[in-house]
Amino acid sequence: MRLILPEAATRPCALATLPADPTAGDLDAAYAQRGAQIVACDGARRLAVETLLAERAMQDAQYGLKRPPD
Amino acid sequence: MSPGSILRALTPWGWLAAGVAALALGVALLGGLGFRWDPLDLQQKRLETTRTQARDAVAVATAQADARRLETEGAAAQAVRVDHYQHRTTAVERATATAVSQARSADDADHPLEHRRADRLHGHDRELCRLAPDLGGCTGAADPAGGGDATLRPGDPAG
Repeated sequence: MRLILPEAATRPCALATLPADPTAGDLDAAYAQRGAQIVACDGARRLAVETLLAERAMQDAQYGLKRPPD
Repeated sequence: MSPGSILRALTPWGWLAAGVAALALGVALLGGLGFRWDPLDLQQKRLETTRTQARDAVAVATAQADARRLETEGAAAQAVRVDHYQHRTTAVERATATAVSQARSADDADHPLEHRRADRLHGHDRELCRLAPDLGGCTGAADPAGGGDATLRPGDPAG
């Protein structure tokens, strides 16, 4: 049994970097951008983990097994 | 013609035929009365085999139905998770777009960073990209998760 995992959850996280001649605006924007990237990447990570756990639960239910805790 | 004369007239083949006929008649009569000759209990074994096959078929059908039910429930739960993820991603992008816009329009937005400070930040960017070159925004990275441009302006020094 397999669940469909969104493609975004399989991609690497993003890292905003400063341009060559950064301004104060670039720094502020990069700060905001990196925060957003953390939240987005954690959401993708959480989705991937929850999908894996859900697949395991489905397999356990299918075979009537009680999987020991990892 | 009396029975005795008939018996005397029979040849050995006639006796054999008569014996076979009598045996067949006896078997037919006993069969009609419900008598069954099954010393090895083959019929019972066949019956048991049929019952086992029927039980197996029911078990397989039940397992397949359970598997389909689990798949349906799993797909529904996964759709909820994906929907939640997409809603959160959209909200994050919206909030970030606002924050970036405000950063760009601030009074000091165009003030260049002091060189030593910029060099220090560039150095850290380069180190992060050296440690994790697959991250979106680093040289050679694939399309990153999380949306948005990783590089905030052209001329990214991260490579």
